Amino acid sequence: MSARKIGFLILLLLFGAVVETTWRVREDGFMLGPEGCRVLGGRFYGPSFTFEESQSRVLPGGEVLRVEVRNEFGDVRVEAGDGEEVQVRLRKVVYLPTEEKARAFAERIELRLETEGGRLRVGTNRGELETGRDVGFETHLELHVPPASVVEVGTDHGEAVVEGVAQAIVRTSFGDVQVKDVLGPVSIEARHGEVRAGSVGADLTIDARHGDVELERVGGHSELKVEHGAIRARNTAGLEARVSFGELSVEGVQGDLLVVSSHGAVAATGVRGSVDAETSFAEIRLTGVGGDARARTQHGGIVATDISGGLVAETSHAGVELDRVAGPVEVSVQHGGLEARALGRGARVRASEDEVSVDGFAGPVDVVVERGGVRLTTTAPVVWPITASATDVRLVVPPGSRFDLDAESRRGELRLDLPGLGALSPDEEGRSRATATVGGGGEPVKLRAEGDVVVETGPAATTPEAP
Amino acid sequence: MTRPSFSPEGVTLGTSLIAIGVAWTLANLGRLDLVATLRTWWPLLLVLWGLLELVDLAMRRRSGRS
Amino acid sequence: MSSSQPPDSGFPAPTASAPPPVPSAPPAGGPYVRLPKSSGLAAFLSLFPGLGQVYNGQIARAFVFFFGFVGSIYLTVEGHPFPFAFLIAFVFFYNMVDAWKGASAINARFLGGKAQTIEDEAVESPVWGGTLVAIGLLVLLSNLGWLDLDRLARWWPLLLIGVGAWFLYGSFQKRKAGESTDDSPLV
Repeated sequence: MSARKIGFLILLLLFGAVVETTWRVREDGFMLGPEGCRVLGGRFYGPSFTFEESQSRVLPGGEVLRVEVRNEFGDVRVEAGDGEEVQVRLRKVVYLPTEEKARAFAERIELRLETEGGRLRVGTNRGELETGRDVGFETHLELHVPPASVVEVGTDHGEAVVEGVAQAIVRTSFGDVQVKDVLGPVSIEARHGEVRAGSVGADLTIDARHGDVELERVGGHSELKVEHGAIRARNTAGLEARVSFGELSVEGVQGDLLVVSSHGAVAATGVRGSVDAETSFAEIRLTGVGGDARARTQHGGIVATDISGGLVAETSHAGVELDRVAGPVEVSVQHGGLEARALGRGARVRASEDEVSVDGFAGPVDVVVERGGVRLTTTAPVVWPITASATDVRLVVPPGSRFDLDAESRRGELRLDLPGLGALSPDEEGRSRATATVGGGGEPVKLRAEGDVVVETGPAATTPEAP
Repeated sequence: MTRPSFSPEGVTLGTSLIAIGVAWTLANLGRLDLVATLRTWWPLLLVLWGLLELVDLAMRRRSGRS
Repeated sequence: MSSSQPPDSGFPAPTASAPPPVPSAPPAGGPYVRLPKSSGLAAFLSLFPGLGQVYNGQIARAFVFFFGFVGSIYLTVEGHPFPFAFLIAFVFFYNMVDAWKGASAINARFLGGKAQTIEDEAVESPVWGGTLVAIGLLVLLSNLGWLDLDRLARWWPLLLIGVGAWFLYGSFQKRKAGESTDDSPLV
């Protein structure tokens, strides 16, 4: 057999293979490509032709209409019209090579409107269309409904938009969702698409996966469940969010904020009520909280600023940073430290492997640090109990402070620079230890350190820091 | 003795290209579904080549038996 | 298509039973002669098991290598990876080596002025053209919907029988003609 003949045979067979494969890709929608295009496969490419059909129904006035739209492979858009009429427009896009074939196929696609009591069902005969070779066609629905309607949309592989109605229930996949200007409750369930909800008068419920969620101006309680998507909310009432693998960022919550997250940062600004935020492997950042705040995470830092109530912060392998907390503070950090300023009602701190520094506090302080130092500075005259135990301790108090000092340094030295120090009595065991009454005595100040203990006077007393 | 010879592959290739060209032009004008047509009729090229091979064989046998 | 002459030269091709006219063996430094087969091409074609042998005109060997390769894969998957997995590699590489050597042998015979016995036996018989037409018709009729190829495909082992019968017939013919056939699959 000569090379030529074999070569030509191979060429012919290759040609056949290419042609067969192309045809098969087009017919059976061979799955090539990322998930989003996957199901659209081979049916939805190539030349396409668009045809339209409209219908309208006038409904008996006075009834609150419930509009149910079912669709796939096409967008659904529901808007409030005026009056009692329902107008539906169906736009058909058919993927066939020639216009005549496309038109012939399009004529078989029907818009279906069914009324049953106060319910209007809108859809197409898509499910019934049987074709020998699956033809790709899109059905896009556009509706104008009475503003008082309750709208329910179920669609796949298409966008869903609902605007200006009384209530909205949307369930979709592989398509974005947008709900706007709805007076009543809104419920959205989405997969693989972005969700945007704005100007919702009542409660809002969102269950989304693989898509970001964006909220704006929600009057009622918001309940969000999101996976693999970021949440961004502005101007809402109370908000409850369960998130994973997505960042949460809220601004202006007029109620309480509850966040249960994992692998996603939490950032909340301007919460009027209380905050309870939990996440992991990400940081929590709270700014301006009207009530109590609770932040728990691991492998992520906590930063809280301007908290009107108390604060509980727990984390590990990262640090905590606090600024102006009016209420009592409780911090627990493993493998991390604390940097705090202006704590109004004292703090209870447990930390390790890093430093704790509180600059400006009022109220009782109880700090234990393993393998780290403590720096406490206050400009409020010390009248509360202070307990500190660390590798080294430094306390700065304003002149005129009155307390009972009990300081011990196991291996370092004691440096006490206080006026009016009473008698110092060294320890029997030879450790550097000193007890003294300062300024006439008051609450106990107990300082323990492996290394040095330093107590000194700082700037004069000012009004206790009030965040 | 020389005999008029032809190359079955050559003729097939030429004919195929012409046929594909015609089909493609028609398809671009919207008159024909190119992929479906090619997919249905491409085996004709194999048939054509096979027939030409047989013809070539017959011609050679005939001229060889002179 | 006779390979001992330039292709498409228009000269009458010899029939299978008569040796071609002996070409003058090229002396060293003599005029350039084109070798009938390319060993490299034979080996390259054998990346598809059996194709190199087809190129060399050794149809029986081609079948053996092809089905040997496919069979080893089948046995590895359905039976036990050990030892059939090694067989896959062995058959594959041996097929390439055999194609190379086969082509070199043909060239050597050409240079030595000896006859090529397996000379394009496939093209000299109507089986080649006939097979092309048959395959083309089968697929075409299936594409047109006139034939249910899937049901028909169940009968494929008949092909094996047919090929075997053809070889038997062919070997009887050759024995009658008194030639020893070089195309023994197992040598």
